Amino acid sequence: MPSVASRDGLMQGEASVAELVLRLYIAGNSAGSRRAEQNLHDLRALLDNQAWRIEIIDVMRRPELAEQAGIIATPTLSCEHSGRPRRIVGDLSDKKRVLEFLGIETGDDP
Amino acid sequence: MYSRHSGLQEGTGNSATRIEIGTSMTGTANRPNIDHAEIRFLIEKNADGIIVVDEMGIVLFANPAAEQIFGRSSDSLIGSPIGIPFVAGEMTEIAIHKPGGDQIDAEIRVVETVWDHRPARLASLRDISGRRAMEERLRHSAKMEAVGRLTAGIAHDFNNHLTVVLGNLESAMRRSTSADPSLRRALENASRGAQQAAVLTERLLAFARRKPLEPRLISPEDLLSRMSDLLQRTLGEKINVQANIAVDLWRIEVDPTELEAAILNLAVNARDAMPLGGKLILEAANVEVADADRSIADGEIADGPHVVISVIDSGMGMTPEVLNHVFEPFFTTKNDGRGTGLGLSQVYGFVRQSGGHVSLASQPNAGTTVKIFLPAATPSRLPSSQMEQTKQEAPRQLPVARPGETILVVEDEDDVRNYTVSSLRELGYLVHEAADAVTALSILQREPGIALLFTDLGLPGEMDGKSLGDQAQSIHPSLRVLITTAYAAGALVHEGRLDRGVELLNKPFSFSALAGRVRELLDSNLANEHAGARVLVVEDEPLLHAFVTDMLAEWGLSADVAGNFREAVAKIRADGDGLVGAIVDLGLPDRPGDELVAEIRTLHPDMPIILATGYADAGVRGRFADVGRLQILTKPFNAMDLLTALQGVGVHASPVQ
Repeated sequence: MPSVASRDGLMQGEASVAELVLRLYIAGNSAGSRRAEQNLHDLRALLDNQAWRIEIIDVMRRPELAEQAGIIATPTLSCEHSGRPRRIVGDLSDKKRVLEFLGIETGDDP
Repeated sequence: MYSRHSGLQEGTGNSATRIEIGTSMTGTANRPNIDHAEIRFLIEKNADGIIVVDEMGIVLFANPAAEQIFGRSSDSLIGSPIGIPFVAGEMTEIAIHKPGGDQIDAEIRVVETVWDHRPARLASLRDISGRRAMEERLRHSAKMEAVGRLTAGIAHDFNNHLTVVLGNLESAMRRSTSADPSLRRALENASRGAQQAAVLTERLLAFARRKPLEPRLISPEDLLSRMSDLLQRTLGEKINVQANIAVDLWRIEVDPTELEAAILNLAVNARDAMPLGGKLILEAANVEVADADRSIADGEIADGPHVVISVIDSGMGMTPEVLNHVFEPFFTTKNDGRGTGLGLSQVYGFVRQSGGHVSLASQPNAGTTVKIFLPAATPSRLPSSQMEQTKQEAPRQLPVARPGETILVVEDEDDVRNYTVSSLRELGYLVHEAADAVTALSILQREPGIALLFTDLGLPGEMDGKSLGDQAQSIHPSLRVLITTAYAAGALVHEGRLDRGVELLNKPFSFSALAGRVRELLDSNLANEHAGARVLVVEDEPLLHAFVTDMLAEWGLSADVAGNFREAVAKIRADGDGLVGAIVDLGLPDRPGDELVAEIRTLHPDMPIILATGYADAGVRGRFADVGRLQILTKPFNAMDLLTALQGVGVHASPVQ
């Protein structure tokens, strides 16, 4: 479980960034895509966080969106800030690192 | 092209960068002294794709293998925001999307490193698409194999039951000619239902590659032209049928009826995929399949010349999910009851059993192309005289038994055996029955007059029907063997065809099929193995041996005449193996006939003997009662008596047609 500090951090994040847009690019119904989607939803449930806006984009169905965003591998999680988006590639199973990437401090392993 | 990989190319000024990589990877102080050129060589030549990504997820470096995997040059990769690779555990799998829409499955491993004095990640990528596809194919073929076994098993047991049902219904109908019309109608309906069930089991066996095929050497052009005419007439006006059949197609050795059924099944699917009309193209061409072409047919096709028959439609196509299941029996997308789900199963089973391969390509809204690859026949394997068109069988009267013809029925299922025995008896045959091979063999020893062994392939105990047949024929070389089975198991079918010399009647068989097949086999022998076979005729009375000689000639046998004991023994010593039997008069001028019988038994213990005598009293019969394969023929005898006696000792003689 994330520590209280992480919740605070999240609250601060929420205050400073009105809404965090997380775009998860996946490819069809592959095992990796399903795992990434599940992991992302698990993280949100774990953090009890309503401030994330999660968009799942299937590059098989919407190749033009992947093209625009320059997505060359999936699953890719893109954290959309103003300016250049930050991205991670993989199925998001390393939850601690994913939280770090999202700027959420954890006191212990999730 | 290596010059693009600037990060590894430049001189000593930048050398710290690469040394850092080495440090992070080995993590030891006493690493070997590797110079930059060697590191560069290792990375450039590495079969795995290697990329270096900075903390913002921007690509800093890509080796040639990575260019291959991403389908992009390192120039375009460097600077692109691929994202930071996160791997929990040793490795994970990602999908790489190439420009143009192709996708590659890759395993990715990541190590943390330092690049240009800043933290970075080095990711190695391995293309596992080929392995994935191979695994998928293996999984698919294992699944088809398992479904096939299950299907064959069900169909096999079902055929046994259907034999009993259909047979008894036929029997009931024959006996109810004067009965209540409503009873007859009920029997007819029951028969129709059972026949439809038999059609279903046949299709299941076709899928399971257990349907015995009758391959013939055919010219596919003729068959395909006929089929395209038929399709034009039957598919309706909305479908435009085009035939594009190459001239000089190689000959193929397949069961033409099944090939027609396969093309028809494909055409019906094509029609149903084009409810608003469209185009159907029937194509055929010669192709030489080499290693390089394997991709066209999933890599399961053998090298060499093939005739490829394609059925192409402009219909609604199929999704990859549907494609994955199309060959499975009972899989259908036609939910309105038009489809049985067995059409493509037949195509699959037939083509695989014929040593060929089916490939299917389809995209939603872009139509479907089915290609059937059939191996071209080796010209030397079959003489062209065996080339035949499919024959139409004319209806005919049921052929019945000739007097005295005896059949041994071996079947472990009581119901099937009872039905078979009663059917054969109804046709006039004398019938012995056995439930297993051991009993059957003892009956065969005891009853030399058995002309035909009708056995189920699957028998309890160690000996199956095929081995029983082989063993029985070694005792009685002229015995005809007809095997019945609910499916042609491996014992009879090799490379999808029946072994030479194996006569098969599939279950369920009808009364008329049984009658026809048994008669055909009993009549076939003279034309084949006994044609011109010699029978020793030992007879001093010229008129009598002339009559016997004439009769034998009519039955396709030749007589070797000896006038006395001495001549007879000389002929037997000279060429006893060339004789299929001996007809011996009991009263010979030099020595008694019974001494000749003893002499023959010494020289050839198995030779069939007919002892002709004018005084076949109890004494004579008693003297020869213990001699095997001997019949006593009482004078005067007519042609029919002689025929019966010959058949009684296992010499197959019947009027030449």
